[in-house]
Amino acid sequence: MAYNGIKITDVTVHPIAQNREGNSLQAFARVVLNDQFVINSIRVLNGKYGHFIAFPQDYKSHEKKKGTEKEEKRAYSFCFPITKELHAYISHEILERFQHMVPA
Amino acid sequence: MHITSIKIRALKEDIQSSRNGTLMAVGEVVINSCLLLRGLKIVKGQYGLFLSFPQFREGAAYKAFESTSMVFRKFLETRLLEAYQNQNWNQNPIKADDSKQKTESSDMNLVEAPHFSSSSYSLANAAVMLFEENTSARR
Repeated sequence: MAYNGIKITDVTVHPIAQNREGNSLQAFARVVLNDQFVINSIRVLNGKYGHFIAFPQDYKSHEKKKGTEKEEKRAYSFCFPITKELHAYISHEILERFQHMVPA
Repeated sequence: MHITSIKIRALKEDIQSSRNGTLMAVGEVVINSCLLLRGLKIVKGQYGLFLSFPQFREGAAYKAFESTSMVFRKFLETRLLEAYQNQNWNQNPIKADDSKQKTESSDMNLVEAPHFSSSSYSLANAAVMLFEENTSARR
């Protein structure tokens, strides 16, 4: 199975051992595309309607605006699919492996 | 895997000097019209310009995404450097106190890269051609 010339050749999932209760973060995943390209630090999260994946993000502090004391931090996404089909393909591959490793 | 669009933002002069003049531009690439990569950095090193993949923290070795094959890495690098060098930043450089050119992000200036022609052959294009041969052989 492949989508638009992108094929997932390898998936590794690292579930969090001894996770505390109520933590939505369940695992970290890494995906290899076409034996050429790696996406690190994809997170598996537990939501209200089941598990879902989040693509790598970083929080970067911006310059303070005048009159505001609180430091503002904005999320910056490094890498994400821009079509619904690729997102479904990647999340299906990861969640399948995750549910195989951590049976609910 | 092929590149469908490239965007390059060059840093303004005052920001460049505050970072010792090493970080030249930040790029954004769409692969196969479905995967978006952001925060690709063009850095000036001892032996010229090169491509750097984004990290989570500055100076950390852990990347958000990376390439496992040298051919694909060279392919991305040549295309991004081509887009950067085709802009002729030196002819009309972005001045620090030019208030007209300020955008929303205010520290960067967005310029859409032009469409590339594959007719001009150079040593840099050799990596690109090698990459395209490899992918066509696999299919």
